[in-house]
Amino acid sequence: MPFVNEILAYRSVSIAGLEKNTGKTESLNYVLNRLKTINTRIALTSIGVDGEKSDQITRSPKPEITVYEGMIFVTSEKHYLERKIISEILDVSQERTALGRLITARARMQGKVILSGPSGTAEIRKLIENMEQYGVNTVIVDGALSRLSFASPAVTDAMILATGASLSANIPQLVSKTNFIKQLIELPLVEDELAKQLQELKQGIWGIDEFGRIHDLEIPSVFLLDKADKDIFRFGNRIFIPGAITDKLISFLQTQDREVELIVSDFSRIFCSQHQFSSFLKRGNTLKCVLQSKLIAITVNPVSPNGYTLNRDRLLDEMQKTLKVPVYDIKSEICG
Amino acid sequence: MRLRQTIQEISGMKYMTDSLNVLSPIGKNYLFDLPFLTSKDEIEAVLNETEAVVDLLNENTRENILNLLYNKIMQLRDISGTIRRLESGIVLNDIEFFEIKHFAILSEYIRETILNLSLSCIQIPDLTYVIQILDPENKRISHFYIYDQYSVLLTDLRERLKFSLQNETVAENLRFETELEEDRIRKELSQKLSEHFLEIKQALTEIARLDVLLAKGIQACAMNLSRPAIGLNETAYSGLFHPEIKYLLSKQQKNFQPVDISIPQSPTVITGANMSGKSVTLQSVALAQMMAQFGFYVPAESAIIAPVEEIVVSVGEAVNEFSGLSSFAAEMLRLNDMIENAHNHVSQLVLIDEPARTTNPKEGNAIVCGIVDFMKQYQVRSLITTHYSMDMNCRKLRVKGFTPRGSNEKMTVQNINNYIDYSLEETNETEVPQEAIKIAEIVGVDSELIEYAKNYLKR
Repeated sequence: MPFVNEILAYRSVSIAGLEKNTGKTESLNYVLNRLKTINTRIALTSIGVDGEKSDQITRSPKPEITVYEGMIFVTSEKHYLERKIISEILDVSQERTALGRLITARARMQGKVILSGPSGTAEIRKLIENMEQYGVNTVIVDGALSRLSFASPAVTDAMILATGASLSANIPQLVSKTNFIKQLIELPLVEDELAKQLQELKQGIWGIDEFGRIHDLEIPSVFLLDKADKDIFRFGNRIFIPGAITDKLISFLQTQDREVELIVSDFSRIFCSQHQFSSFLKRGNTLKCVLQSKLIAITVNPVSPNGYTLNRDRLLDEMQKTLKVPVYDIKSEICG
Repeated sequence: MRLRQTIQEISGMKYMTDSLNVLSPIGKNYLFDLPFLTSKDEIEAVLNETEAVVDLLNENTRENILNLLYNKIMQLRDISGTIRRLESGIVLNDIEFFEIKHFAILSEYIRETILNLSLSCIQIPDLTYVIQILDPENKRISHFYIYDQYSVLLTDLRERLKFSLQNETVAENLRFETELEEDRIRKELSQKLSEHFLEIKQALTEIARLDVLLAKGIQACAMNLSRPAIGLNETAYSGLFHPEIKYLLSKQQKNFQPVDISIPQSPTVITGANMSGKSVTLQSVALAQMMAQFGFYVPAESAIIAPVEEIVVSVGEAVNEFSGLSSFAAEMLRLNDMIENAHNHVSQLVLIDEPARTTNPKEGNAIVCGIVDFMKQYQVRSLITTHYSMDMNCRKLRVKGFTPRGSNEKMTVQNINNYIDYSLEETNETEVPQEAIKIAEIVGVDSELIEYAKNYLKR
């Protein structure tokens, strides 16, 4: 049984799609189907609908997820009342989301439900913690499209990435784009001692000297970095930026030609292009992170919504070769 | 009048309600909805309840039970919307059944605890029957779904559904039949529950009342508040204080000096230097009167309070610039409230801080004398502070004020309150203390200006 056992090794796993129609829902349904026979308590939820704007705009309905007996799920009041499942309410939240309060329930029999959980990372984190009281081993979070922030290691411990032809209809390009995300997710960690201290810093720009001491560079925002009147390398070449990492920022740092070691909070803060990223590394700079996520597996959907189908075997083969993680075609796994 | 309306109006009221540890949302609503009580009996009844809680808290042996009780109250949700729907005969959904079950289980627990504590002033109805309706498994856990036990048909349908999940058409049909049966049960449950909506409603109100009562008791103990005696004619305090100002002073390692004051059913004029605490005394009196009439203990060592129908307070610069009135005009118009009450024989407590201070002293003085005359005429229970010399016959109190001390320490704005005796004494003098320039010097006004002013005083 591929990668399912690995899921159970983590307290929380998010499933993130790199593009629409990459088969995130199939991926989740596949995972749940595999977990149904395992005697371990699973809980699942999703990022609230207000996190998934594209669905609200195109008005395409959120897909139903098949939940199996004994599994716990958290969804909004609205979607709970529309469920096609026999389930027992365990709790009703005091807080409200756009779709009403959050209902925690246990499936009494297999059935279908639309998941719509909290809409913020802090709320998801709290929810994951709360699940402990029900003896839950692993919480699976159905992530939002192109909102990788919910897959941040600050929220969930591990992730499954769904990719496919809708991201690119060209195999080498699809592999390369997916590999870029994998590289970001697996950025090397900084040393433990430093990581602990850096985790506390939520904003600003910081220099780290040769003794590992952290200094405020007194620049209020990354947007003002190139306007800084003091030398930003006065404490050395190690720079920590907890905020967003943009193309402009990377480009500024690499022009300084200083073999910078740029430290980020985690991959979800990096918004630069693949091109800028590799160019930065090629010039002898390095990127490290404070929190690392574990990429459990990649699932691919070789069919794009406009009907184009990629060669399944070649795709899986090339993905596996380049990415060196388990890669699955969820659709054929379900059929097979 | 409700408590929420007084929060903006009375200085220190917000501090008192903020520091009340009301645990549940329904308790908070209940608190802000408390009515202003005007009859001696009503006030005494509420004070009796508060006293019962204060006694309980002072016993010290019930701490564990009380902590469990707080914990349960904290879990309460406001289900008044659901109760209203139940009352109107609507068929409830599973989430609403869950809410009622969750509430009923908590309510039963709280009811039993209350019996244990012999808090007889809280009467929570027995909701065992409500729990029975929603708990066919008799587990007393607040989970809910339409249980198999509700009907043989349902058990059977679900059993068949379970074994037909592979066959989508059969499953779809069975699912439909199951849903029909579930809906029938929901209707039946709603009907059964609606027979008990009054008890559920009363339980909710009683627990909200309990929540507020406990918070009041805890606050009374923590802040050293005391139960006021409710008199018919007399209002008098000894050791009256203003909790918020006391707290702010304590943060600067300073003490609040409580005052003794009696307020007969006639005007009393209070004079005293600037910074001698006249306004604070007025605010403390307003706060204590208000709290007593909402059934709270009051911030004083001891108090006797005559309830009134209206409390008219005019303290500070409560001027609305947008109304187009000058501070003088706004202040004068506020007097109309007091006058109207007097004409209508509404019993009232009137507290006016330095009336007519923003106009010329000659007319200002005349206006204040006029106000006092009017209040004498109509026997208005009132306190009026002023800096004007009042050459008229009425009860006067003077803040003792500056007390010279032996030390050589320089008097500054920081230590000034060590040099002031804030207590009040009766006086017959018509002259008021002449200490404005001295205070200006202490607070650090430029000496050049002080000299100019002194020159005028000598003329």
